[in-house]
Amino acid sequence: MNSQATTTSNKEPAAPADGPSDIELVGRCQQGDTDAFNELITRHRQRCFAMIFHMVRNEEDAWDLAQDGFVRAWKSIANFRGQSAFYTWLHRIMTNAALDWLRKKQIQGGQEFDDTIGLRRIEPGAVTAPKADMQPAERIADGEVRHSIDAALAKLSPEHRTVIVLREIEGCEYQEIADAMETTIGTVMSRLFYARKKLQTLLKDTYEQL
Amino acid sequence: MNALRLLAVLFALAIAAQAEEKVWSAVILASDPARGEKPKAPPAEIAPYAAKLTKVFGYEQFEILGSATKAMDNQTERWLVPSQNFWVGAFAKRAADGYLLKLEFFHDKRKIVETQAKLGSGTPLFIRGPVHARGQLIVVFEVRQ
Amino acid sequence: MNNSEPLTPHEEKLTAYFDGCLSAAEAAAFEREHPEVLAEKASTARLGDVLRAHSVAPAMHHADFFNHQILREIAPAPAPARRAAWPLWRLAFASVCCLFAVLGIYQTFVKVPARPRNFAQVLSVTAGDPGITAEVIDGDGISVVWVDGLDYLSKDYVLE
Repeated sequence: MNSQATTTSNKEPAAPADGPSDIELVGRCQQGDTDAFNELITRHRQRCFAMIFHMVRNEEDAWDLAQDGFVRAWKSIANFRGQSAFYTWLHRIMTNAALDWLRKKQIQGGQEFDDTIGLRRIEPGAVTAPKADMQPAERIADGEVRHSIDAALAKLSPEHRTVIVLREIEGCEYQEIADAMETTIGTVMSRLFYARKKLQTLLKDTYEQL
Repeated sequence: MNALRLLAVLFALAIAAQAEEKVWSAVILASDPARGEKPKAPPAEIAPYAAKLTKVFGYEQFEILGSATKAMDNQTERWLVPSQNFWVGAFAKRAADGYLLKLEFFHDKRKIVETQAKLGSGTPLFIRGPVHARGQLIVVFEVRQ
Repeated sequence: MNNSEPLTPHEEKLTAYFDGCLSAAEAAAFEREHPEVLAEKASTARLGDVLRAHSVAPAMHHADFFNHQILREIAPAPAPARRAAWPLWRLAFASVCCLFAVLGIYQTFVKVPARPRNFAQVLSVTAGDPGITAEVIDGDGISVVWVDGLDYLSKDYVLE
């Protein structure tokens, strides 16, 4: 059995053709160059923010957590040895920042559902952004589906939510998820199996509407 | 200046080498063997402490119900979930001879205890949890390389 | 349901099949053996499609401020305004830095880590609520935070 999933993988975003590579910038960061780190933040902030947003479903929290993740990355940058792509390493830090936050929220009594999520700004170039020529009824339906998905994801445990986001939305491979969550591929597969089952039950009505 | 840079790089490498440590946490069920049976051998992870645990808690056999290991980034809060019943928030700060750990221990969302402890390699901390029909629950923390 | 309950061999293969991790031959054989998995795969793929189609992150707002705040948090102390050519204070500072660097390297690579005690040092303990008491027992080489006042868990309470 091949453990490599075949969907869109969590690949390193392309570095600007004329700029230094991520690895070069990391080397400068390891000598205390904060300008180099600023460049790394600029390159990766949107993708990190989006990944965390999918996990925590709240724009402000995702913004804060992405910042927290970058600060953690700076503190640990001396540990980065270049054995993986910089984004892979950063992705692991970001995932853990979000996962720890979800666990803490769960301990503190669960998350409240944010019903404004369907009204957020959407990236103009996003493939799945509502089309400008959508009829009002279609726009409402689109918002309702998103609302249902958010509600369903909120009912998953932090671990189940994380594997679903990393696999289905981020397109990560099993090994990438296992590395990010500091667990085994077997555990990832188990969590995916049960999380999908639960989501299929929770979103049954949504499926039928589509 | 180059010599200073070299020293700075060596120093950074030294810090990186130290940062490979992780905190291991496990939920242990301490119990007595069935009448007439010998106690089961303890798992390797807690074998060095089994006799001492017997003295403190009075139970003769120990099994690990679940465990979790997390890399401890300096001054970063991490959550350890050794079992779905027990959660631990850990905030680690590197000290001269180990970690200064602030631990918040929860059982089914109820905060049980908050403690600050200095843990080095091979110096575990045990927390007495609730008593279950099958025996005494104990949570252990240990810094590992 | 446990968060990571082990899967049966069939469930594990099913998950790998859903995620395209079986070879073409393995997948074909699996479908022949279990024709019902085709519909399940379609349903799983549909779940993925629905999640992806309706999970669009917003553009990050105040992106420059985002960088600014991080840099402020990680910024080192400001550099001196004027650079003299190795004045005495600078030499003294560099010497102290070198000393610390050498000590750091010695501490890590040469010296065996000091173990002042053979058990953890508990500095403070606070019970989570008024119904609980907690105290430290340091004895016989182990440290135990002894907690009392917790509910007894009956045999129906599932430990997972």
